[in-house]
Amino acid sequence: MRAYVYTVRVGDKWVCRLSLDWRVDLRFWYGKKAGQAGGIEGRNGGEDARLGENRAYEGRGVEVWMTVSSIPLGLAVYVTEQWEMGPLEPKRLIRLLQEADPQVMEWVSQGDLQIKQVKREDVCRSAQRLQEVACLGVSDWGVGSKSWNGNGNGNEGMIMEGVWNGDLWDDIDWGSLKRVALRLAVGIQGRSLLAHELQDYLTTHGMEDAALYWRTLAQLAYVQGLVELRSGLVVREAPRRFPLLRRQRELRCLRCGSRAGSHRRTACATCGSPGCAYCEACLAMGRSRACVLLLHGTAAARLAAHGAAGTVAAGCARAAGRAHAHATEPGARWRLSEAQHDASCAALHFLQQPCAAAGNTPAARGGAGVPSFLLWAVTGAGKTEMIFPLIAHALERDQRVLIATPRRDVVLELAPRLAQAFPDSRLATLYGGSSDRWMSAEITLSTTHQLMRFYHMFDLVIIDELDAFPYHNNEQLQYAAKKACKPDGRFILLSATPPDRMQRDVRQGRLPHAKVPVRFHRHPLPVPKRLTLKPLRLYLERRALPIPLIKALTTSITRGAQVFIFITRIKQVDPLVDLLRRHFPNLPIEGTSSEDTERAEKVIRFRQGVSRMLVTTTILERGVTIPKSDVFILDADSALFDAASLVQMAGRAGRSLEDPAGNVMFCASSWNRAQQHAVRQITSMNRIARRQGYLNTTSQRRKGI
Amino acid sequence: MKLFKNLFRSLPTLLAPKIQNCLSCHRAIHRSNNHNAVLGIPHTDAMVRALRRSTNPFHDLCDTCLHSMPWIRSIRCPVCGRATGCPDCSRRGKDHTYFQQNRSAVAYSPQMRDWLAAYKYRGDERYLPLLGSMLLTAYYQLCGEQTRDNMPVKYDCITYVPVSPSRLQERGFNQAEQFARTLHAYTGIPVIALLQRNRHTVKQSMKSRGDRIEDMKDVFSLHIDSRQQLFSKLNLNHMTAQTQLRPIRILLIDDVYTTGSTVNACAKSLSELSNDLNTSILISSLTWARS
Ligand SMILES: [Zn+2]
Ligand SMILES: [Zn+2]
Ligand SMILES: [Zn+2]
Ligand SMILES: [Zn+2]
Repeated sequence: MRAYVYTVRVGDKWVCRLSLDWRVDLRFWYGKKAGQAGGIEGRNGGEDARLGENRAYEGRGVEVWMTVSSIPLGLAVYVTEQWEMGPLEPKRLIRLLQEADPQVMEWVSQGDLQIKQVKREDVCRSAQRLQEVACLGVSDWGVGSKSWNGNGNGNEGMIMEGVWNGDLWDDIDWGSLKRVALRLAVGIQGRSLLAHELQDYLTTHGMEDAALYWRTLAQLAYVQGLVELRSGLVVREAPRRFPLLRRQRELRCLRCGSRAGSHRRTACATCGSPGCAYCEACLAMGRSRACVLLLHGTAAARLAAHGAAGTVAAGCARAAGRAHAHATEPGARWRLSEAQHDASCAALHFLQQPCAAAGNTPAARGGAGVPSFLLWAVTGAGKTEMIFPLIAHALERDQRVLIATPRRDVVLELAPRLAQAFPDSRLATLYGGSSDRWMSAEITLSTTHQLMRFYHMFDLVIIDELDAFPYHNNEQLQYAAKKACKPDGRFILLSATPPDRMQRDVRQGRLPHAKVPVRFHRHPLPVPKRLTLKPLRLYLERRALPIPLIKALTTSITRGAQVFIFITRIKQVDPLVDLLRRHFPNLPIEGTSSEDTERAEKVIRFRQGVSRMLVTTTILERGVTIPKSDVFILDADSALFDAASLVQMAGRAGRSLEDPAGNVMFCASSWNRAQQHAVRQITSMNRIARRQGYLNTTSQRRKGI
Repeated sequence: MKLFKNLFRSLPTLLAPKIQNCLSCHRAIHRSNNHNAVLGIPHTDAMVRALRRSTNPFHDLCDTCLHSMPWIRSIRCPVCGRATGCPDCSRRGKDHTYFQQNRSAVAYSPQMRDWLAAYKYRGDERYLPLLGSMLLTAYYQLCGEQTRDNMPVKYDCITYVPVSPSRLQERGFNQAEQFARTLHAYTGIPVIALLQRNRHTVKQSMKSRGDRIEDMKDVFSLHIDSRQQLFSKLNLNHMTAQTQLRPIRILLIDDVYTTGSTVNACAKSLSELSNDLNTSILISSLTWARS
């Protein structure tokens, strides 16, 4: 879309704003038509004064300078962000536009960039209704300049969709519009929404009428400081790649944080640009574009600053948390093991610290600029129980909690457990297509994708499996998580295999953390054993598996365990399954990969014990837990397996109290760094567990300690 | 120091070979060197030549997806180009059909529906080169059929089914126009915006056939300057009104052909041009899919 840009002088200060419906701005800043006495103080006066409307400045020379035509929204946003002082004037405007888009003057006509002072008398002369607007000279509700600069087809190009079609100078209408705008702003508090999502919000909240004039409402909320109006893609300064080069500007997706590499430029009829960029990284969530409106609900901060927090509180759900008086004794209330309890207490201590102390070093701010705490819990440690005390702690303080996890199945699995643990709190479960998308809740459980739809909403953000697939080196997630978190909020990061950079920060004492080195059943982690084999490829070509592997597999089968076999290549799955079936003719064996449409069914059959052996790629490295299982990793020296994924795969074994010591085999021709690193991580966790006395006595005896 | 660090960090991305993923199924594309670009696509030599001129958009697909496209290879109804029997065309009758014939590239299968939805509604414009060049098969099909004195007929211009201004605002592009421009890029036939849409139509699938036809009345009309445009772009100015002009052939582009009511309504408006031009207007429709 396109928007007008204007500057207004309030007292001796100039502010620059953009406008989706400039009549709103004129009414807001001028207050009354010329010649109309300031009248209706009684009804709306109090609220108006609080929100800084006109009355405070009345008679002190409000002055408005506005572009005669609307300009592409992305450019309008850049100008409002960069305008420093003084009234709008063409030269500086054009310079700013060229900063944002060096080619801008090739497709925006100079005529569009003229600036006109809009006086109180002008308002009086015109603009009762939109149709009369053209006489003001500020026209063009359409696209491109053709429709208004004299091609004669006047109204045809005027697109009036989304604006309120009445008289904004009518005090009663103005008052009710303001009430609806406030309701809207409170409703989308803490959210980050594209224009069509705002319309969806209005229609699903009994405001179908309001959805028809959403532009007017959004403008009214914006001019009162209740929402921020941004564009989906914004111009930002690029990080300097080389210190000697000049700083450059680049586009970033304000919703997901992606950079130019994820953007595509196409001709755009919405704003008239020949190369309007859109974001491909978050396209599945609705298209974020340089000219598409992105709203940030910031009503809470604004109203709190004006002592009207109650209004927001009424709109935002609370009512929870009061029953959780025992949060400081996590062990008792949540039945945590000793190791879980200790880690939970350390995290609670971190949450209780004042902001400055918690985030005193850059690393402690987790790279995302938010104070962060790492819960480094081995696979099978029972990390869900450990976060319960942290959630309770936040709820007691009327804070909002977010639990984000990369996988949808984890969301679905976690939801009932959270609902059971916190029966008095509202829980919103968010994933693609979930019906809770507008729910206002104390606890939000969400896939990482859905994080993008929030803005400064949460006090506590718990990020599960921060190293799992979509996160791996994922700048985008960090961006979205930071955006969803309040500026004074906290991160709790959960991982069994933190990324190297984070492990380094831990070692150097820059990232506060707690290790949970033992599983809930208090037995040590199975340490992987070596089995020297040639690459799987050779055995498949020969159509025969090596004797040592067959022997080891037979041992696992005879002891009654189910067997995970991890391999590196999707195209090796079926040949290997065939070969295994020949060696074990009576055993149900299946294979699956990311390209398998029947994966879900096969996983269910394996879980139920119907199939005994499952050949798979790293796609199942986490998530699937089988009570009695052994793990074989073939070609363990492949570059496709890093230490983290080896630890995760090894973590499939020995998960239950009944069979706490499963077998893990690294089958490879060489013993590479990743394998060494993985074994070192596992043995070091076992050592810590032993030293701290977390292992139970029988397992200590078995180990001869 | 920092300079080296940055350089070092960007090395892996510089050295790693770029893996291309299939536009449709997102799987990595494994392509042999002797890969035939038009394998499985109904094509003519002319089409192969046209595709060679730039990067071949069919390379965006993996072989599996490329081979599973529902091309319309045999035509049963000579009017609308359907591969099956056709009650619509016989019912409409020759008198009320304002276009010569329609040819579609593919059947509107669920897969094709997904592609069009990704492009049109989700705004994934990476699909444009592919969908647009699929239209080439329908175009060359038509050229093969339409011969005069054993020479393929020449089309004078391409035009497209317009969308309403507010739809254009919302979507940012008109898919039919984009298809038309893609076809222009391959064939060089000029694109002229001859039509305008006067109002929205309610979603077609919601209504009966009778309603649909009633609903199409006056939805489309000629652009104010369409005659002028046609004259100047086709260099008709030097011809006088007395000389009988040769018939003017227009290609009308749309995304999906359902009952033909949209195409027919557009063709009806276009046929009004013949009054001013003192010649006949022959309209052929090319649609990307036939439902
Ligand atoms: Zn994005
Ligand atoms: Zn645009
Ligand atoms: Zn494919
Ligand atoms: Zn037919």
